[in-house]
Amino acid sequence: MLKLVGSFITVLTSTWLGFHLAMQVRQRPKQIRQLLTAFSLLRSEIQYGNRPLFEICKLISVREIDKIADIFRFSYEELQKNEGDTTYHCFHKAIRQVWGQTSLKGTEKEIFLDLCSVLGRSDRLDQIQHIDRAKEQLQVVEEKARLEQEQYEKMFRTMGVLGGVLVVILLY
Amino acid sequence: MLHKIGGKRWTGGVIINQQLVAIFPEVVRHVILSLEKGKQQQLEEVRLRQLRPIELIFTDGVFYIKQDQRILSQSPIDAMIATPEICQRFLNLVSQHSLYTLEEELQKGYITISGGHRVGITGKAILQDGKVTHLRDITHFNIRVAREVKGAGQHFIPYIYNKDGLQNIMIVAPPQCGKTTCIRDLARIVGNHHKVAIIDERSEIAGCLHGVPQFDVGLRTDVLDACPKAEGMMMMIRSMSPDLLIVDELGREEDGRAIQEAVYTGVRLIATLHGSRITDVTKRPILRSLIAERIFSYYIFLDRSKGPGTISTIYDNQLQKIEYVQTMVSQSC
Repeated sequence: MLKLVGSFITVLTSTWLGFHLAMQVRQRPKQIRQLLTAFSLLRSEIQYGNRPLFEICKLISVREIDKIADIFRFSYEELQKNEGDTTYHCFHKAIRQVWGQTSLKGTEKEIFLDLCSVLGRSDRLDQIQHIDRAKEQLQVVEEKARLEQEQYEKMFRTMGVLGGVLVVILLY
Repeated sequence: MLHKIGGKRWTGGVIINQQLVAIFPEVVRHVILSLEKGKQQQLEEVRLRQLRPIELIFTDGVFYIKQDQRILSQSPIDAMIATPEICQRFLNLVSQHSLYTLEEELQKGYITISGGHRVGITGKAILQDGKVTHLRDITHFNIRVAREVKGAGQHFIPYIYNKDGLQNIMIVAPPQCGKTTCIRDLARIVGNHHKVAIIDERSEIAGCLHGVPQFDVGLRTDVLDACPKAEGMMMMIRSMSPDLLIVDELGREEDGRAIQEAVYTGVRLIATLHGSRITDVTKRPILRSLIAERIFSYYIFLDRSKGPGTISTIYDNQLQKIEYVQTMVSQSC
């Protein structure tokens, strides 16, 4: 009986792990696309709205969903304090708080932080050029992430279930 | 605060409130807040120059912050240095992390912050077709504290009002001599009785925040905030039918043309101009035709010989020096 319960728990855990990894690869391109939308909004608000950065972050936090909205909401709160911290520092604090809860990886984080290091520090044209560059880089990453999703999502799910079954067989 | 202005002493000055001190770098904030109120009110400028001592200019002289004791000293030795970090933090505060929103201000070289205080900035100028389009590497700041001195305009009243009614006057002075303070108080005095329109291109006279004047500029005063003077004068004449227009720091050629247009509609005008001597001022292209047409009844020159706002000389419309009338203050005002 104990063995049966143990086997059931092993298969369940392994399946959960497989499905979790599958969800991660599925979520990543989706969240990159959300980030791209946020960058587009940032671009148009800088170009046409001429709004200060904290207002734009607030706007994005309302329009976007989930964790991407959280990043911009935390950034808005940090920028709003206006205590003299650098823009990069404000965004970095927000990213540190939220990034772990997203499916995004180091490459996207690097692109985001690179953009943050120049945000708000130059004229409009320069800002737009930096945002466009960040968007191009993200699009490349999104394409790769999408291929990874196609390649690994199903595999992780199947391996999760089968891996659990294999462990149980080996233990018996 | 006590200033000797126009031979009389003024009381009043800048109110050091949280809104103003919040803009200062932390070290300056602490020092200013630790000063007695009288000394606080004498603050005129705070200057930050990267890697050089932080300078605080009071009515009675230039002071530096001692590095170890954080007290004021008139010697720059061992003074606190404006580090790149201090400058960067200050720029972030002033620009709200959004320099791109200040493109026009960066072209002009200053930013007006809430309360009417002005932050002058310099760095590396970026040119396009020979014109400054932007400033980069901003490393020098001059925080000019706007002050409200009620009574500062009283001495001008005999020249603004005479038996023929309101007159056009031009106030001429070098920077830091109290021009804006004087016309702000003139707006208050005249604006309590007549319809006054201020064209506040730099948001310095009324210090508008979201369109509402932060200074007392009179009960019947309308303010057109952040609008170019030349355009603003005609807009105000058409829309607000003022008795008196007030504009600060004439400089562009179109300002002169707009004044001609404005005064011939029957509206009176008070304007200010940078300058120190009549011989220099009359050579400025903007004034030549205005002088020739005798548009201004009086040219009042200010200096700092007895503190900011001291009336030094007065010329009439034929540029003849006239005697300064000290005591004739209109009771109706």
